[in-house]
Amino acid sequence: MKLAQPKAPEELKCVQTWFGKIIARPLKNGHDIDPVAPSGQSVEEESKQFIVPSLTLKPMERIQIYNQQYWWRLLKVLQESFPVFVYLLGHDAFNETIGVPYLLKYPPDHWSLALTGSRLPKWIEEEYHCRDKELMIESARIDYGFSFASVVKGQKPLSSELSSNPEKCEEILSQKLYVQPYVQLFAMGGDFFKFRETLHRHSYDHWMTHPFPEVIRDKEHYFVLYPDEMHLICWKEVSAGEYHLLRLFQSGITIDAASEWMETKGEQFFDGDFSQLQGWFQQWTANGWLTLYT
Amino acid sequence: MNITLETRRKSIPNLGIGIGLRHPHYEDIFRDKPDIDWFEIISENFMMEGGGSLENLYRILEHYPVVQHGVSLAIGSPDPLDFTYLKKLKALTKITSTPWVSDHLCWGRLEGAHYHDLLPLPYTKQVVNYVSERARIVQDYLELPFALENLSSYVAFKKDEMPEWEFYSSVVEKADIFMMLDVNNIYVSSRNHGFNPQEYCDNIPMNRVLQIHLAGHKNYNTHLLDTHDDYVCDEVWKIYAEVYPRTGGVSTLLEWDDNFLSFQHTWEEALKAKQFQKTLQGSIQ
Repeated sequence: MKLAQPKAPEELKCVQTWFGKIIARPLKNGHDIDPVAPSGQSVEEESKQFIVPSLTLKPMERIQIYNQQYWWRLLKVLQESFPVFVYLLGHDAFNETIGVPYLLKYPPDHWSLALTGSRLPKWIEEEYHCRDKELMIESARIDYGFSFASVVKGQKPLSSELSSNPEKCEEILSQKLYVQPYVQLFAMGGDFFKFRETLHRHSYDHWMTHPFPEVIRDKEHYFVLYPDEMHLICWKEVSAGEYHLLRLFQSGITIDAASEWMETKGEQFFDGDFSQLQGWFQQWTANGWLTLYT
Repeated sequence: MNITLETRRKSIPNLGIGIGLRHPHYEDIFRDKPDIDWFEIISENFMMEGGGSLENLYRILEHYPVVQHGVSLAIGSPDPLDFTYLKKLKALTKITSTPWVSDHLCWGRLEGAHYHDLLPLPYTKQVVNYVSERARIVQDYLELPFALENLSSYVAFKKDEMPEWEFYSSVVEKADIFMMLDVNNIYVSSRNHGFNPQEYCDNIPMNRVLQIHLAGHKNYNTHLLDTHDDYVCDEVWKIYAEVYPRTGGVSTLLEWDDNFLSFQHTWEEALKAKQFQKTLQGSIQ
């Protein structure tokens, strides 16, 4: 919307630019303000130019409160959004090796605090180095998947379409169907969902003194993450065939075309048994996973 | 048509006593449907296209009035007002039928970066003009009474030209908007900056207060921090008792955002407000 908006006073902008730069600087030892300002000067001296002391705090100590709140708030949000990392590393190491470097690379640029970690899976993939990188990447994908599935908007489910208009059943065979955006599909080289579930059975303290569960990496595993009717985010392991079919529905396909795909290109996943499609289709429809809309 | 402040004020309901709607209480609320007057929501938590949060909000709206309180408007930021954000905020008001919308007298956004904090403004005439013009735009756009909340603050600027109460009053009067008066914030700031809360209360236009916030804070000896994780202290109740009758009786809300109590205990804490409202009830009778 184009609207004549007032221009910010230069003096205000000057104070805010300085303030913003100071509070977004990482804390020393996770607690104290960095004594050197981004300008290279002492924060103690610089803060005296902008802030008055209180009876108990110097200007630098006063702005340190905002510096702490900025980091502690954002790190807490990341810890809550990516609990597996906190289980694996502990709070301090998570902050030091993931939270702070990530926030320096991708400071929040959206009004929703909940989106603070939206680029963390990408950051882990590109910038994080460790022995078991696959575990870290898949954990980030799963944890972000849980957050994403709880906020994304779904389309009118096929089930409601059919219940309001039962004659539509015939028509639907020739119409493209889509998987709802809140249904997420994962193909992984191990059972990382089970690993996550086992971690969550105990507290952080428990895992400080006990060995972590092992990730079963015996074959390719396939999972679906979805909200149930009470909007709780659930997951289940599915077969390769069901996963690949759902992938086709993600980009939109008709039932007829999906059947044809099973019998030709997808044959390897079904061992000649194509009877599951009807059962899966009924289940997906009942779960509200399919829609006519994109 | 120029509608007087008195007429606008009269159309704003006193919803009674409410608490902030928070996730740990959902189960109790959905199961027991407690007899609570109203809930306040953090607007940004529900400004999404879909998902469980929004579904939960629809369930709450079946039984309770809901008022929207925001944290990300950043009315004092130098960046232009974000109309993508405001559009979503307005769309949510259509869902909630909130009788008013509030946010904070602060800044928190700069050159596209969001600090996700309620950062204090210098109290200058220039800033009064700038913020009040933006606040007027917001109120006109939302087509609802719009209120700004006073902050708990931890710094005071060398450039300050006036005390907080004068700055706050000037912004709301110039913009012709309302006050969401947080009495805990008055107390926290009075301790951090060394002013008298009584002087604050005596110098703000009480006829512009449309809601009061109550909350707890933490004492770190060198300063108080607005944490919303503890009971309301006696000094804050004292300010509430002083302010409430002077507003003519407005909706009151307890904020509790961390170290959560059970729903029942949170509600009991909020209900303590009733005993401090007696002065007004007495005067009405």
